[in-house]
Amino acid sequence: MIGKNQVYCYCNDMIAKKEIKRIADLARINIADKEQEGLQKDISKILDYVDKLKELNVKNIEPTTNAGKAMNAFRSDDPSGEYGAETVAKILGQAPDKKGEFVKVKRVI
Amino acid sequence: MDIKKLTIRDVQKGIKEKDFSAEELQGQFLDLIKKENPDLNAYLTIFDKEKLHPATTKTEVASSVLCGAPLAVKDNICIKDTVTTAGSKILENHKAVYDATVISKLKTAGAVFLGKTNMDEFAMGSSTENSAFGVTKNPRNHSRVPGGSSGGSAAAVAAGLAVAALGSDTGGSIRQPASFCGVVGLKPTYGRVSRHGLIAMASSLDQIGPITKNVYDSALLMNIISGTDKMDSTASSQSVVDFTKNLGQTIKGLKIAIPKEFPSESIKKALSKLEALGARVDQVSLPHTKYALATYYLIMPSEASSNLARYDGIHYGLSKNGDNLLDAYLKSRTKGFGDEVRRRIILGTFALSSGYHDEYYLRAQKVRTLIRQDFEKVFEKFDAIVGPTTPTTAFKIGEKEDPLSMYLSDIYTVSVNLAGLPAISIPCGKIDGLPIGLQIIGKSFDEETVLRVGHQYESSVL
Repeated sequence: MIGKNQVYCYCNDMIAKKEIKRIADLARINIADKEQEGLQKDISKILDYVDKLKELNVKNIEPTTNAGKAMNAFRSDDPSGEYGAETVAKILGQAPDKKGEFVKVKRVI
Repeated sequence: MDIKKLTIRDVQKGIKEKDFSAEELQGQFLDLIKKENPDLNAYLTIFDKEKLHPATTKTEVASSVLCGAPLAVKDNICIKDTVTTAGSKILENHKAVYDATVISKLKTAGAVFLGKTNMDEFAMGSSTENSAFGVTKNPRNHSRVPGGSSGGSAAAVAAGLAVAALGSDTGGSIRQPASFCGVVGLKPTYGRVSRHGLIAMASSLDQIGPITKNVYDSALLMNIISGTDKMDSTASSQSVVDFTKNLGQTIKGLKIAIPKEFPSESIKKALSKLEALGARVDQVSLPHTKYALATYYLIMPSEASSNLARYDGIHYGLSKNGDNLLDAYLKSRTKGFGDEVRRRIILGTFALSSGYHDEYYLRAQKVRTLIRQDFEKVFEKFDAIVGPTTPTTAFKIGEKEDPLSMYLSDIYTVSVNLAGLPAISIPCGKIDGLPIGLQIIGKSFDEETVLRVGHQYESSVL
């Protein structure tokens, strides 16, 4: 069971293969059968290493999300200027499948 | 004239005094690259002479700032209408549709680009061995790595196959290869240089910066590439000073800190030199240093997993057909991404996923605050912090098979990115013939002091 208080599914002290498969599916990446064991070892080793952060008391610490100080930097939503029709054509030209001015995808539903 | 030894200042002088023309120089560099690159593999793309992307006419070259100085550009920085791969198969044939802001600025300043340099795939690596297009050799010793992820750019400058280069740095990717190759590499303050047109890896950590033969050239390029940009909302509106102006100013009385967490054996001579120049060197502590790597290797893969979601085989890049949409995603991304990229995407997706986010990603962001505060405390009393750039000299190609042992190369560089500070690596000697780098870290937006300390040290050892 995966919940807030659960660390991760252990299997012989390593993250379970099925957990890696679940995460890989979320990330839209395939892991071949022959790669699973190696990846399991690598990810487990890294997760063991980063576990050292649990030594610290971070109870009243604010997270840093932005290394810089820039806040709410807006600009006008203006499609004209140097990125005109030529750029649009170049961008569309890179899509493997398109229809008119739209990029085409397979059925979603 | 040995073109391999030319600095930007030499090019400016040579053009103005009509010792050579910009075209002659470009031609000579291209011939040299064609001869030496097949072995070195520093460049992934070499531009044709006809398409060297000069923005200025012949007459304008001599009056431009850079006078047609030939530069190399890391292949995660977009140059319009040229192949931009980020070292990945998923972008193998992708042509950039616009210039990165730094490229526009450099073109206006009279730069000429020789080609795009090799890198670890999507900047994920510390050796350039993760490139989908083969490793680059360290010009100082061909059995060794040039470092990463800007290995191609550092190698090109060290081998004299460019006068200077651009790299990018997320956890040390300019400074570490600069250290390994014996050249100068600067990571600016986060927000100092626009990231528009830089293929994103970790958006709160990435910065573009110069890799050069000396500190003066680094300062000169910083003058050109720095500044606010409406296309990058994280680019700061902090005013840009002339970084070359005070390079010659003495560092007498400057207060330099050496953290006890950074072993200083390899840079002992450099520290003595700084003291001889009149700086006061004292020991301090950055107590959360030992948590920096773990913090970085949670935050960076998390941000990268989000940034790399755009490579889906639908909009551009490698596209594999599938039975349905999910199948198409799986095939394109699995085929297009290398092992390290897939590893980090999975790590990042895990750290961000429901049930784990608070314990991993959020915790890492809080530790990031503690790391940032360590630096702020030291900078209340000191002007700069120094230490070795890397724990070792360049390791052998193929030596580090284990991902975690590779990550440990970044141990002295990552905390700087987490805190968003500027830092430079300058050559400060050799061990067994392999270069070592001195890292100088500055206060936020104080590239001036970082460059000045670097220049003063460099001048004293010439």
